Amino acid sequence: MLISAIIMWGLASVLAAVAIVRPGKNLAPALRNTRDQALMVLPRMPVTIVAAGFIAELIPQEAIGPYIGGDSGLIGILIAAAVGAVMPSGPVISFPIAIALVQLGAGTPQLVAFLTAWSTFAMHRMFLFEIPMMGWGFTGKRLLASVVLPPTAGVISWGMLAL
Amino acid sequence: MFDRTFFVFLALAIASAIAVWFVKGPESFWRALESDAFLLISIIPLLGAGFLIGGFIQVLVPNDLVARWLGENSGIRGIAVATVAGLLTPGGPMVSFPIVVGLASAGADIGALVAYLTSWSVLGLSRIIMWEMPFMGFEFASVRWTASLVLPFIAGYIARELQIRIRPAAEAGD
Repeated sequence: MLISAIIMWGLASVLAAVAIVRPGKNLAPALRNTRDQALMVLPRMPVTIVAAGFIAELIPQEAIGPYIGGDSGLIGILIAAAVGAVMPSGPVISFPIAIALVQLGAGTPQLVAFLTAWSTFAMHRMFLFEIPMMGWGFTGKRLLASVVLPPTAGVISWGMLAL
Repeated sequence: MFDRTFFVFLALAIASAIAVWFVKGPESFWRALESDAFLLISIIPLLGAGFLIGGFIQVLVPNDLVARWLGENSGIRGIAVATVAGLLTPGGPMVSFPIVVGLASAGADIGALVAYLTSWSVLGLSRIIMWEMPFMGFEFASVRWTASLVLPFIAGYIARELQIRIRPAAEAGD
């Protein structure tokens, strides 16, 4: 978190310096954009974080382990993708769950599908950032366009391992 | 500020809170609430920087440049450029989403934006180095990464097609 903060504030400072140095009125419009964005997103943050946290609490990880084993094939890939898609949590929770799934016997292609679904659907991120910032229309189309991704990655990795 | 999105999530938060309280018990309820509070406190300083980055990108990156490289007519090159940008973007959604907002208002099309977000989320090098390799090991990470190289292109192309077919719905969204 500290490293991210340093990188981000560093980047923001560099951009601010460029805006000040470059000719033309850059600073005022940039700060206006910043304020508009903050006013739109900040009130939503607390409720979206709480919603995502409670939904994550409701996912039964032990129950799904047996269905996504190394010999579960395409069905296992699809189940793993479906579970990954509804994981409303960041890497802090998702990677420990992935480790738990490995210990429960999950296969590599199934894990690939799980992690791909989690990272492309990312309900927490969708709630916290995508819908507030980009709207329902953009988010809906991105999700539709992403439905095929987790099974695709799962099947490709399955093929790679078979080589 | 307090619009439809806000109330949708408020309802979701209350419903899931009630479900956790009765299904998993008060202990899980308080533990979840406590970790939510920590998360909120820890991301606010990052969000501040994220909003600034997005605000400056909108002003500093020339619109015609974005439109040419990432616009509707940027073709496979636009999706490829967005994919490379996505895998190099460090950090979490506080970094990538302000960039997406900035690029969208500068004229990038949905195909490039979806390719960018897909690439950042499945190919992003910073997450792989910080999370995946430590947790899952180098071998798994490299198999998953290679199997995912084609994904931003698939998602970008489908998103472009969807945009052409259901364009009126996009204007109705908020």
